[in-house]
Amino acid sequence: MASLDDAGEVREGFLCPLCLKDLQSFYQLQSHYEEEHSGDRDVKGQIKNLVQKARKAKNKLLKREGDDRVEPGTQGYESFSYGGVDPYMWEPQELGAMRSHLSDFKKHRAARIDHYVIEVNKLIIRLEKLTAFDRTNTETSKIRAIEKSVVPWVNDQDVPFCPDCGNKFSIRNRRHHCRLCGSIMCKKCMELIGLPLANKLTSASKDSLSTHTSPSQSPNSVHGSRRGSISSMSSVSSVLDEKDDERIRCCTHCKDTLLKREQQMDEKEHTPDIVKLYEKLRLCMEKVDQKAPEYIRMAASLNAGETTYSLEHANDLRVEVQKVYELIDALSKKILTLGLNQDPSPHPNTLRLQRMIRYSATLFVQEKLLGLMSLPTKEQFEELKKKRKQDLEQKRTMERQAALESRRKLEERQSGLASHTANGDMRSLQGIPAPLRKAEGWLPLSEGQVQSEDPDPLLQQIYNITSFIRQAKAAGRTDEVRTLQENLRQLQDEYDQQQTEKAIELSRRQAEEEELQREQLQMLRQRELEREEEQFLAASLQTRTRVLELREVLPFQLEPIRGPHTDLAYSLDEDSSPVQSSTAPDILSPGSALAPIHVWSGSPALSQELLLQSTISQPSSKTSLNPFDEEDLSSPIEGAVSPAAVEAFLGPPAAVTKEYNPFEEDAEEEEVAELGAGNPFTDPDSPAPNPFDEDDHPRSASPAAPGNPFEECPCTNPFEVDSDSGMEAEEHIEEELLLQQIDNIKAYIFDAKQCGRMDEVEVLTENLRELKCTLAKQKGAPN
Amino acid sequence: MMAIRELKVCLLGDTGVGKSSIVCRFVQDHFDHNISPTIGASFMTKTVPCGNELHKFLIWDTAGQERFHSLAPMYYRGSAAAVIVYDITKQDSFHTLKKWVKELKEHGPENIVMAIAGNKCDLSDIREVPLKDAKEYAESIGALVVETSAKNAINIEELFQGISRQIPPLDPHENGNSGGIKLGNQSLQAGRRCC
Repeated sequence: MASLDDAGEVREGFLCPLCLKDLQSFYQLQSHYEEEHSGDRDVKGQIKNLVQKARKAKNKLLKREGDDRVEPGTQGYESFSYGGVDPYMWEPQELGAMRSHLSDFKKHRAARIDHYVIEVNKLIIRLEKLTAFDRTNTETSKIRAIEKSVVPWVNDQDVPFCPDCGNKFSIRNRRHHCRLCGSIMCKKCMELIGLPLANKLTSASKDSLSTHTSPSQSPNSVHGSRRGSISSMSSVSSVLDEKDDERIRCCTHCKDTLLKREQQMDEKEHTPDIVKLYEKLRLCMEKVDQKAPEYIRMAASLNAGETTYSLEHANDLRVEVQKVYELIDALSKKILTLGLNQDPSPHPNTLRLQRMIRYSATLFVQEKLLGLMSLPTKEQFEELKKKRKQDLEQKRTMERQAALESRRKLEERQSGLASHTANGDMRSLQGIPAPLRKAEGWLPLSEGQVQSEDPDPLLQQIYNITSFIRQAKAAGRTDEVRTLQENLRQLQDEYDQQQTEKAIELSRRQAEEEELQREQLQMLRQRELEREEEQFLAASLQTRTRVLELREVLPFQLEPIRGPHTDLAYSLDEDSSPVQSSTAPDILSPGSALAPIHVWSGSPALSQELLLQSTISQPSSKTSLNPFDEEDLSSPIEGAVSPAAVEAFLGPPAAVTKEYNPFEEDAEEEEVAELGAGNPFTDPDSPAPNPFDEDDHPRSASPAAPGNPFEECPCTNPFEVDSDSGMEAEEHIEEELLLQQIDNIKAYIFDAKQCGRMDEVEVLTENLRELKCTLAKQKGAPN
Repeated sequence: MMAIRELKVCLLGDTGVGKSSIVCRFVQDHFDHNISPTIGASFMTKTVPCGNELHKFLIWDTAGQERFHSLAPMYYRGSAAAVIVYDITKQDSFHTLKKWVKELKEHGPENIVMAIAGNKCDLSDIREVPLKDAKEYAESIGALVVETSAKNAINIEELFQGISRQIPPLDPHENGNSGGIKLGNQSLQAGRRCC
């Protein structure tokens, strides 16, 4: 261990725990520790083992003593280490050196391939030479000469034994030369190559044949020996020799090489049956993909009653397509059953492939056949044609009606006056069906006069396009027909939009007119109210006629109560339950309860009444503090009951009068103050009878309520009744106008939804809400 | 002359729990509020009296960051004691402490003395690791446990004194010469180790 002289110094970094060197980096520290201190670990490991096994033999103790002496500095250091045995500390090993042998492999393989190719080519070239001439008609001697010239023959003396079987050559066992390599073999080991095989092997390279070398003469000794042998044999052997000349002799090795070559050629040229059948199958499928869409179009057109295609042509095409389907089915069956009857059963993967091909072909046929529609019979086709003609005629008549209606609209617009509300209603009513008819479809008119008379440019263009479509159909140009039809649709859409915009403008104008009418009605009501006020003033002056006037006024008050019921019924057609709930309290509640009900409706006039009533109640509370005044005024209170009730029921006119007479209110307040001052006795005597009545108004309101129903019965003023009926008639007319407009807007919304124009639906919906709010406000005013 | 024993002590624990602050407080009695993370390991020494001996602590303060994890075995191998530090305000540091204890038991020296220090006890108001949990765990592994505060110098000296007391003493008869006596001494040594 290193000495720790600088104990007080603090060091930080990648420090080695054994030699305290700073190695500056993570990896250097690790590598240093592994390389430099591996020995130390072993030593410490041994020490640890010794300590753990202190009871062992003396020899180990002696070694330990030796260690202690050698390293005295480590006596007091009780650190131990495992050494290199701990697998946790094994660093991941790097891969060793690698070498690529690809180049060597390619080199050796190329050498082998070259050798093989050269040898095979030699044999084929020689075989080609041997088969270049007609061997049947050539003399045996010439054949021999040619064979010897192709390749040099080995000398007979050099080969005493057969190299393949080891038998000794003799007169009985004669030598035979291979015509391809020149080697010697016995008859048993000899192989023969027939002319067909030779031609097959050389056919590929016949084109490259350049020149035919002339045979050279062979040694005479060879010829002599062969002739002698031939003459010694019988005629049968001579016949065999002739037959042998038609085949080429060769050794086993050469034949093996050539057979391998033949096998390679067969593998290259051979195409499996499954491939051929599958290719046919694909061709049939492509045919179907081309012809089926044509048939589908023809069938659709014929079923629609059109005369673009002929029925016979469609039938022929259908038969053709069905035949192709049958062929696909047959081919897929053949593929499925390939190789099943053979002794070596095909590979399982091959069978699986065949099944999948059959499956895909079956799916193809099913999908395509389902898509083929059936053709109508001749009779059905004629019926379809008739129906088509009828439909066309109906459309033409509808177009004529639409044109006529458009003319009427134009005439009415020109001659009609804005002041006539009835005409406005008629226009709005007529406007409803127009978009529906256009949505159904705009067809051209057959009459030329109608076209010329119609001034709308869009309509004229629509007529032109329709006539063009007819001409194109007559000429048989389906492409132009389609293009013109699209153009026609666009024109119709634009025309419909214009019509809807006009309808919206009309509805807005009508709403404005209705608003003007409402204002006029309000003015009339104000005038009537003023007249009523004058009557009330006269009544107050005449004390004797008070009772009679009250009786006359009560039925007038009750009749407007009935009015709101009818108004609610009109405005809340869709909500029947709230109408019932709202009408019940009106009927059952007494007259005094009517005021809060009207206040609840939320109209500003009613809210003003509420404020006024609250101000009136304050002075009444002050007066209640004086019991003496109440006792003194007992008889005048009874007398003042009827006029107070009148004022209570006539809320709006009371508000108007008070607003116009602020001085009276101030006078009332002053009088109340004087009463409170402390002169109760002198007040009733000094003032006139009028202030008594005014002071007692709020008190008399509640006791007047039970008397109303009794006073209704003796109503005897037909004049006032007539005036009330007139008011109702006017209100009814105004409400009817609003309701009609609301119905119109609803119809417009319905039409817009059918045509799919959501933007217009939103605009119309907002308009409908505004009208409903206006209707509610209008009903609230008379209350 | 008093005998001097060199004791290698290794500090382990999560990053930022206060290992270096504990060592700095123990060796130099100083606390740095802006201490930076330790790189690799730091080495300090301090000699303290313990009974009849002087114990010289060779203190290796390791880096707690994960990327220096593989360096720790170099420093705790051959250590007489290991102080595993956690931060009482971080539950995660207590989980890391358990991992270090497991590693020491698997790969560390067999007779190593383990001490668990819960640092930053001056921040009890935001404590996340109850003292009860630390004591229970320390008992289960046979380790010393104290809560310390390097900032306020709480239990730092006590921590290292406890380690000194836990260290098994050396056998004075280790250098005997006779064979018979040696055998007897060995048996005594074994007995003491059992204790």
